[in-house]
Amino acid sequence: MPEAAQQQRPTIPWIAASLADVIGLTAVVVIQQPWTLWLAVVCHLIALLPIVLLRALSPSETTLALAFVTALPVVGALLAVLALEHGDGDLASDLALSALPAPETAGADFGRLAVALPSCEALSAGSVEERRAIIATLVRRGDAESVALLRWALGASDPDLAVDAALALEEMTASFDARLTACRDALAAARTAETQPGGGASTPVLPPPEAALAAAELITHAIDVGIADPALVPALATEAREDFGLAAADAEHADAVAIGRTQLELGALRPDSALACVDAALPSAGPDARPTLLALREEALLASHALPWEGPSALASYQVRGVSHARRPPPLTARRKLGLPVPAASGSIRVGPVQIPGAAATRKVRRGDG
Amino acid sequence: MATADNAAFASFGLVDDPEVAAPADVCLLVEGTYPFVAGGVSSWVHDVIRGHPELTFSVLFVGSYPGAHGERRFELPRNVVALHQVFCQETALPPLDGAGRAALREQIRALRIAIDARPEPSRVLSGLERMHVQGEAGAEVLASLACNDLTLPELLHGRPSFQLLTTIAERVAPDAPFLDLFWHYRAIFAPVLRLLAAPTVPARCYHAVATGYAGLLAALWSHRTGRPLMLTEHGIYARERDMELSRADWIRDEAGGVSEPRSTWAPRISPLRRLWSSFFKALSRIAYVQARHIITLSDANRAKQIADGAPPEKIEIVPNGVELQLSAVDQRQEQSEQPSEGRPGDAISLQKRRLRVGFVGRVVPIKDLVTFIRAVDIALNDVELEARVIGPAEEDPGYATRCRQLVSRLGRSESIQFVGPMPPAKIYGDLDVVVLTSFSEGQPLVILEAYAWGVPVIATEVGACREMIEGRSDEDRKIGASGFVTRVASPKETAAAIVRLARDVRLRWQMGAAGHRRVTTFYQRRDMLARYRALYTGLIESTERI
Repeated sequence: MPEAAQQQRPTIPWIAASLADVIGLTAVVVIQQPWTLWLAVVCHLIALLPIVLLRALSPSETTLALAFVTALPVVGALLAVLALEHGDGDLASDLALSALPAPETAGADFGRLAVALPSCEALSAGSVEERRAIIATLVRRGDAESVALLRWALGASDPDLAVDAALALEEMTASFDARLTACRDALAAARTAETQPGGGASTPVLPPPEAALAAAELITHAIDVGIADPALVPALATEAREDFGLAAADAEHADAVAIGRTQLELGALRPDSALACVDAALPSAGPDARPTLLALREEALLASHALPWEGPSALASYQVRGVSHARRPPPLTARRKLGLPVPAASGSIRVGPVQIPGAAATRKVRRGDG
Repeated sequence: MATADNAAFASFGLVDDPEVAAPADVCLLVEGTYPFVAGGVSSWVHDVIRGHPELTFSVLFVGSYPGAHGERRFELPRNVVALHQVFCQETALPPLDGAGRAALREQIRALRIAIDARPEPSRVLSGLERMHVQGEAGAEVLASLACNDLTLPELLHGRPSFQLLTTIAERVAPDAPFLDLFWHYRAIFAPVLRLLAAPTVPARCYHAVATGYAGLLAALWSHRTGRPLMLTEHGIYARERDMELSRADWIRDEAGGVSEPRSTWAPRISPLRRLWSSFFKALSRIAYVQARHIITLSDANRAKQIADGAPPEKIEIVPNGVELQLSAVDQRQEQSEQPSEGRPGDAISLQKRRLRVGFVGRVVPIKDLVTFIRAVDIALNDVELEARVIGPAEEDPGYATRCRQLVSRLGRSESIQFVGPMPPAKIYGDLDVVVLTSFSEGQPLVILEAYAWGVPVIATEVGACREMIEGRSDEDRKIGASGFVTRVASPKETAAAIVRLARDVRLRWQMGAAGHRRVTTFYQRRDMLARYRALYTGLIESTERI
């Protein structure tokens, strides 16, 4: 800001602005006629004129002063002077706003969508910057598809891509570990607070059921998306089951516990347990949780029959609302994760006889057999 | 020349004032390593200094801020005549009270008047503009920066500096939130100005052990004094910073909702990350341009340097080297390792013994100790192992705790032990296999040390690991593999390699012998020192003609 302007700000415009407002206010208070309101409005608008015409101010200062005078009749001018003289309100810049490129429109987004490579290809064939941008996006999303894509990138022939993917997965794992530790600490604090009420806890703690539910849901999510260390999954699942058990003590959490527990059992490859959980919860489930539980039940039902040796024909009798599907049923897990509608609960699933292959199909034929 | 800023520059050792000190033969410029941080690069620097007792060295340590790096980890050799430190940031000041803020405002106001009255524009600002807006990083940019005619207050509060910021906003990062860009602009350039203001340490030649801030400073001093510069890059600085930047949470991509990638299928590249990345690349190019010799460790690194703008004719590959442990290897082979043809019982007894597997390195995320632990856990299902984690764990206590917890949760506390740092003789004499699971490496000394002791290595495919294990040249490859190369973050592959070496004693011995032959032929310390001696001599002799 030029020093001359700083040193010799004219005072008359400010006084004039305040005077105009004072006149308007006086008219309203003393005369008390309907037209005095309009007079006050006109006076207030007149009060803005001296500020608009004040050339010593930069555009940003003018804006600030006008804001004060408009918002606060009578005292606005005084406050504007104080802010300009003693505040940090000097926002003057030489930004040539007109020279700035216009923000991208939705059309540009579609354009980018059209020219952008699919993630897999961009990861393996894109520039380093594109690759890192995609990996950063995948880390932020942190869902099962993102983790799967990062694990795919681990096996890429380009060592740099593999390293980037490995670092991203390590970051996600470290983040999960940190959050799990925090959840465990919170749960321990909640239990301590429960057993020793008023035990000097300086920070507010969650009730044990809520803390347990948070920990269990975190573990369930980690197992579901594939971030949890495979070697630790059984131990983590056990911990989550205990936490869900603790959370179930609060009837308010019954639906959340049922959904979470079922998802946990599905993630831990225990569809039979998942089915038992969901069947136990369905009779008392609330209306909001019921569709989700029914979808999970179908998923568990299918998973419990998705035996390794089972071919598509084994589920040939799969029916939804009377329509028979000759092919493999839709992947419910993927549909649930993608937010697509899952088959309605009324659709009956009748699983046909499981075809266990005959001995000849699995037995290795040894030389000399026969 | 600007005067020394006490907060930014400190000297220890025999001389306190670099302006009046007698020049050392070599000024070594290091960033965040020797002598305050343990690690491969620090050990290498220490070794190079000790290996040239006929030369005097001054060491300049470029650090982040005073007090960040603790005590020295190395005893300075006798031929180090001075140790200087320069810091990129000041120690954080306490918040000002009302009167202090008012006084500061007055100072800034007065400063602006002085800046506006300045007759000529700053050449440093012009250099920074050329770096960031025109993408230049040549001799002219270096000459501009070397003028050192811009002070930190001028950068922070001056109108020309703000003009440069707006130019960058318009031309380089138009979709970055301006307020974020404002702070990043300060964070990028303030350290540069502090380095420009550091007094020149006199020397007959300069040797930077990285590009980055140390490389910039070395290039500036080389330009100012006319003394030659040599650059050694172990890891490629700009690439390592890129890796950090891609995960940096202090860059807000989602600020203002402008930069957030809306779809996996069409991600946006963060303009602020790009700005930082181009800055580090520019620093590298400046050092490459000014350096007379660029030394690196492997072909892979050479290719990356060329891609980043290094002139190919300047680049030379000088591998690291280690002292051979001939007696130790002989003893090792005599004692147990070599399964004798006539006594099959030896091999059987070796197979019965638990394999001793070691992870040698700092316990930090970049070494990916988690993968080592998981690999050992998987391998333990098939063979008996005794795993040791050998290295300092205090650098990242959180990560060390996480690793210990993982071991505990896997129920492997008896099989995997954290034993802390140990001298090499104790480490390798007691190991059958060394495993390196790093995400990033240059040319790890750990591998060479293991070879020197006849120990085979399992390492991830990073840096020069593949050529160190499988051979770089045809002659090298004829020696045979001295271990296994695995993919990064692949515990199953690492475990499979461990199991294979545990079950096949003969293979283990063959690979250990191949490693020893490889290090004897290609990676001897005396060869490395001889090459550096020749380079130093050439540089110093050239300065005598100045």
